[in-house]
Amino acid sequence: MNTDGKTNPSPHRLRVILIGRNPGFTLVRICLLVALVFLLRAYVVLPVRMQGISMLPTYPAWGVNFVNRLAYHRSDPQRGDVVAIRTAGESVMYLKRIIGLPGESVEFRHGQVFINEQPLIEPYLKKPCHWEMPPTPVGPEEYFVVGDNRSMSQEDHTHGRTQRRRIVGRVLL
Amino acid sequence: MRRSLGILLLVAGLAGLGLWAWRYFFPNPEQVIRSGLRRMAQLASFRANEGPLAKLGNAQELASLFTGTVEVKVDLPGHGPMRVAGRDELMKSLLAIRQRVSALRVDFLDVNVQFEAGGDTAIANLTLKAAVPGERDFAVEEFNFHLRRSGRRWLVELVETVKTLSERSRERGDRLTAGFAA
Repeated sequence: MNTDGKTNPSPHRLRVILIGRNPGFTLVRICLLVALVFLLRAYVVLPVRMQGISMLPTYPAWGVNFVNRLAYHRSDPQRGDVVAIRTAGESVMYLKRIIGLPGESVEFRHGQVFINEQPLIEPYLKKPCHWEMPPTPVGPEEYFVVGDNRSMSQEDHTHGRTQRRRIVGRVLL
Repeated sequence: MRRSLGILLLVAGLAGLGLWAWRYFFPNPEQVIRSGLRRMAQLASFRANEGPLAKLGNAQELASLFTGTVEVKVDLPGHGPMRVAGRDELMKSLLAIRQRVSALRVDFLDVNVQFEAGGDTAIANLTLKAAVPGERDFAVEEFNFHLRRSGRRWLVELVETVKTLSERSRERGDRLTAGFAA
């Protein structure tokens, strides 16, 4: 109530909900929010839709996840990390686990992974694997990646060496 | 004040129109290549009800976007390495695909164009996404399209698969689609 006794007309509630009491500020807030979402998506976290069975049972065949782009900003990818690997761009990427690091040799012997002739313990594997692959050297700027679903036939499962520059980030969830 | 604002708007509008006209009539090589690849993806896609004449016409137009001596070296999931040499053989392959598959939607994603020395050749690196309409699954492969200038057109002279994972084998799964829309 004003000092002269008159009541200020209050804005319509729906209008307040939709555009706020001050449309100018609301517009600024929307612009900031859009810019923030754009920057987060471009430089921090990338939302992705997962599709495919090669990471079962760690990740479902269908689902949504996020890729942390900053994960390898100050450190290198580590063995066991699940990473997103880009193709020509980021519209479609591969989701794989790193098992071989630069300079190592990766081998599959009766389904068991050997890194530099030493067996690799992989607690995330739940089903038996019978893959065979001779020792494969991993280049200095390369990583050897493979999915967790090794019960698939080896021919049907995309895996192998990829360049460091193709790794977009670590899967967040 | 109002008059000068009107003149300013008119000049800006004319400048925009002029820029659009310039780009339309004198597109830069990258625009021409991108537009050609978009057309290629359109022509490679077909519906289930595509008639025989349309089938032939579209396959012919698609083949015309390649040089006469085109070479296609692809390593597709479930098919292994394949090689097609020459436009005639390519045309036969395109028609065979249209006979074998009921419908197909092809998209070229993330097209990166790089010009080689001299400016008469270029490489377009892209991700090809192919799906049968109505089905949830899709096939994805990374390719390099080598193009050569031919007059005002750019024709594809070599298509080759890029090994995203070098020790790769075949699979139709394990993919991420960035963003909220495919």
